[in-house]
Amino acid sequence: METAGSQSYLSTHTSSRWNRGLLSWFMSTDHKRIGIMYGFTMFSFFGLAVCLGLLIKLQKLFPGSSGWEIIPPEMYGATFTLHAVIMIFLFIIPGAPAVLGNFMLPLQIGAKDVAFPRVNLLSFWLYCFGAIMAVVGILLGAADTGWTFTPPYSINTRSISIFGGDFDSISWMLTAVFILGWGTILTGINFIVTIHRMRAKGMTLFRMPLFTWSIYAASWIQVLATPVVGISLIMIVLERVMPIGFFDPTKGGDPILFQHLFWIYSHPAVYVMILPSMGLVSEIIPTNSQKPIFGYKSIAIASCSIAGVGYLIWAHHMFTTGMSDTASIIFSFLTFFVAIPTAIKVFNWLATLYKASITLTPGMLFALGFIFNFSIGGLTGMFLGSLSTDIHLHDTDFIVAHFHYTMFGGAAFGLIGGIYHYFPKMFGKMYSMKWAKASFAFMFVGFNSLFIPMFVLGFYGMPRRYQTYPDMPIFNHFQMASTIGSWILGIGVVLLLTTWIRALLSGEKTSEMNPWNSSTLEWQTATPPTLYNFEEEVEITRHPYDYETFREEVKKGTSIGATNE
Amino acid sequence: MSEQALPIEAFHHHDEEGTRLGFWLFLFTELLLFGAFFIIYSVYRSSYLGDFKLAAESLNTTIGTVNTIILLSSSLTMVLSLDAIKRGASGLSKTFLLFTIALGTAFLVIKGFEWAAKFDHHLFLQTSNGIAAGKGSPLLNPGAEMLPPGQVLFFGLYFIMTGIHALHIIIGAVWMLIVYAWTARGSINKDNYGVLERCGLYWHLVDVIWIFLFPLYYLVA
Amino acid sequence: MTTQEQSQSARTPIIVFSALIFLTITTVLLSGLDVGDTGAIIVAMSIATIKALLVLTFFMHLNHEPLIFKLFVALAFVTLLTLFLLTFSDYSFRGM
Ligand code: HEM
Ligand SMILES: [Cu+2]
Repeated sequence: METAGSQSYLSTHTSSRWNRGLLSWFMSTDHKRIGIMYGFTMFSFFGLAVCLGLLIKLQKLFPGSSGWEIIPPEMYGATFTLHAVIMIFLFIIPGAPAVLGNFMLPLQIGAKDVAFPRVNLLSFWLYCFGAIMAVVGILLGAADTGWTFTPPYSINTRSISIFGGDFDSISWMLTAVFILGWGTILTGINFIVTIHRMRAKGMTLFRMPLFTWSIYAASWIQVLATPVVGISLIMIVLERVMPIGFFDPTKGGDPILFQHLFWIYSHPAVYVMILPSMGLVSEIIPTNSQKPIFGYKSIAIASCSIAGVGYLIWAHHMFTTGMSDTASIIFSFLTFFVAIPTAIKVFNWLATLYKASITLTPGMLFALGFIFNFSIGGLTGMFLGSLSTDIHLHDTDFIVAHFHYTMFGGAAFGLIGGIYHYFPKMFGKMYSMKWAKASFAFMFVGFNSLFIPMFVLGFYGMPRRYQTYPDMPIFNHFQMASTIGSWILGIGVVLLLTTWIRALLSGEKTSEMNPWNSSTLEWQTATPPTLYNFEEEVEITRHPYDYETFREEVKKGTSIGATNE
Repeated sequence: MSEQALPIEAFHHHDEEGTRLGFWLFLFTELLLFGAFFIIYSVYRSSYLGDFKLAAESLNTTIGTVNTIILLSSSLTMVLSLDAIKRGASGLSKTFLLFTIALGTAFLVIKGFEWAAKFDHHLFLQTSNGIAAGKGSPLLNPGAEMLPPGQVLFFGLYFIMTGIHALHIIIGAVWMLIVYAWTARGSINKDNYGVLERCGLYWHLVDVIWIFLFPLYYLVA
Repeated sequence: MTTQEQSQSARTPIIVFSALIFLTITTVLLSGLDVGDTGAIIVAMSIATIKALLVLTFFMHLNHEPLIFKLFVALAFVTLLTLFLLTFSDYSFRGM
C-alpha cells in the first residue's frame, strides 16, 4: 500500500496544515528536515564567519607601522568577537549533532523519529531566534568582549553603537547565547531519551553505531553543563542593568568565579564539538576500509569517559588568572587523563586502517584529515595543559592555532567529512567527486599553512586578540605565510560550498541505497529515506560493523533493506 | 504529494515512561542552574563569612520556617492530587490542586512582604561604595547606610536566588491552573494523567531547591 | 471508592510529610546550638539532604521508577558535587 509514510521525506510533508513551500520545512517535525534546516543555516553562518576570519588574517598581512589597515583598531575586537561567536555558538556547538545527529540518529537505531519531534522543532526555532538576536546584537553595537565575556570588562564596557545612542549589545548577545543554550539542552534531552527508549528490536546498547554513542555522550554534557553557563551569563546581564556586583571586584565580587562557571561549561563544550565528529570518523573509516572497526567497545566507552573526564579539567583555561596553585596543579594533572581515551580512539582508527583496502572517498579524505589535524591539536593541547609552558604560551597565537586545530581541523573537518559521506543518502543526489576532492586538497593544505605559522608566532610571543604587531622579521614572515595560507583555505571553503550547492541543484540523481557499501543500519533503507524511515519494523541480529555477515546477507538478499533494491 | 499525509504524531505510539525520563532530564538542568547559584553562594560565604552571618541575621527565621512548612504542605497536596486522579477521583484531584495553588500563592505573598521590608531598609541593590554600576539607577537610595561588600553580595544573592525561585513558583502555579482546566475538561483523567504527573515533579523540584535555600539563608547566621 | 482505600493510599505521603515537618523544626532548633560555623553548615546541609531525598524518593516517586531513573538522578547529583569540590580546590587554597 502506498501511504504517505512510504514516500521520500523530501516530497512528503509531516504536517497537513503547513504543506507548501518553505513552511512545509519550517513547521516540519520530521527529524530529517530539521537536520537539513540546521545544516543550511549553520553553513551559511560558517561562510559568513570564514569571511571575517579571512579579514582578520588580511589585517595581519603587514605590520601596522607600514600603514596597512584593513580593520581599524577600535573595530578589531568586534570583528574577532563576531567571528568567534558565530563559529562557536552558531556553527560548531550545534555542529554534528544538529545536522547529522538529527538526520542519522533515528536511522541508525531503527527509530521513526526522535522521542519528542515537536520539542525538536522548538530547539530549531530557539536556535534561529538566538542566532538572529546574537548577530543583530553584535552588528548594531559592535560588542568586543570576545566570545568569553570575561568580567569585569564585560560588565563595565559600553559598546559603541553603530547608529548612535545607547544600545546594550553585550546584554543582547548574552541573552542570545542563553537562548541558544536552551536549544541545545532540549536537543540533548531529546537524543538521550531517543537512544534509551526508541531503539529497534535487537539493537542493544553495544550494537549501536559509534556515531550514536558519541552523540549520547555529547548530549549528557549539553544537559548537565549548559545550565551552569546559562545562569552565569544572565548574572552578567543583571549586573549590567542593575547596580549589583557578583563578579565585579570593585563591589567585592570575584571575576575569577565567573571564569570558573564559564569554563565549567565551555571546557566540556569542546567535547560536545569533537565527540560527534569522532563518531563520524568512526563511521567513515570502517565503511571505506570494508572491515570491522578495531576495538568497537573501547571506542564507545572512550566516548563516555571523555565526556566524564571532560568535566574535571575546566580550570586549565585559568592557570594565569591567579587562582590557587593547588587548583592549578590538580587541574593540570587531571588534564592529562583526557589524553588516554582520546589516544585509544586514534590508535583504534589507525588499527582499522592497517592492511585494509581503503577507498579514498571525499568523506574518507576528510576523516583522515581529521586524524592528522586533531592529533596536532591534541598534542599541542598537552603543552597548554602543562603549567609552566602554559604561562609562556597563554593568550598568544599558539593557543589560537591550537583551538583551530581542534575545532576547525578536528570538529569541523569531521562534520564536513560526515556530510560528504551521508550526502547521497540525505538528498538522493551525488556531488562531483573531482570537485569534492579538490575542496579537500585546498582546505587541508590551506588550513595547515594558515595555522602552523601561528604556532611559531605564538611561541615567539605574538599575543592573541591584537590588531597589529611590531615590524620584526620573525613576525612579518610568519604572519605573511599564515595569511597566504588563509587564502588557500578560503578557496577550499568556496569549493566546498559550491560542490554542495551544485550537487543539490544539478547533481546526478541516485536512488542507490548504499553507495559506499556500509554495514550500519542507516544505509539499509531507501535513498532518500522515506518519511517513516523504514518500511517494516526492523530487527537487528548482528554487530553494526560485522562486515563478513553483512556481505553474506547481501549475497543471500536477507539484509534489512534488501527489499528496497 | 499525497493528500492524506499523516501528521508525524499519528504513527507515534505515546511513550509515557520516555516522556517522564525526558522530563527528569529537564529537571536536572534546573538543578544545575540552581547548582551554579549554590556554588557562588558557597564561594562568597567562604570569603566573607563574617559579613554573611551578620547579613543573615536580618532575615526573619520565623517567616522562613513558616514558608518552608507552606511549601512542604503544598507538595503534600500535590501528591494527593495525583493520587486522586490515579484512582479516578478527578473532583478530589482538582480540590487538592486548588489547595496547592493556594499554598503556592501564600508562599509568594509572604515572600513579597519579606522583600518589601528589605526594600524599605534599602538592603537591595546597594553597592559597597554607594556608586551604581554604569548608569545611575533610580533604585539606589543615596541616603542609605553603606554596607560592606560581603553583605551586599549576600543580599544580591538572596534577592536573585529567591527571586528566580519565586519565578519558578509562579510558572508552577500557572501550569497548575492549566492542569486544573484540563482536568475539568476531562482531558486529564484516570488513564491519562501524565501532564499532572510532570507538573507535580516540577513542583516538587522547586520544593527541593527551597529545602536547600532555607537553611543557607535563614539558619546559618 | 471507599474512604478506606483513600486513607490507605494517602498514608505514605502523610507519613513522609510529617517526617519533613519534623526535620524542618529540628533543623531550626538545632541552628540555635553553638557548634561552630562548619558544624552548623554540616548539620543544616545534612538535614536538608535527608529532606530532599525524602521528597525525591516518595513525593517524586523515584521508588517506583526503573533503575535507570535512579542512576540518572545520581549522576546529576554527583556532577553537581564534583563541580563543588573542584571549585573549592581553588577557593580553599587561595593565598597559600
Ligand atoms: C577560514 C577560516 C578561519 C580563519 C581564517 C580564522 C582566523 C582566526 C584568527 C586569525 C583568529 C585570532 C584573532 C586574534 O586573536 O586576533 C581567530 C580567532 C578565533 N576563531 Fe577563527 N578562523 C577560522 C575559522 C574558525 C573556525 C571554523 C572556528 C570554530 C569552529 C573558529 C573559532 C575561533 C575562535 C573561538 C576564536 C577566538 C576569538 C577570541 O579570541 O575571542 N575560527 N580566528
Ligand atoms: Cu579546555
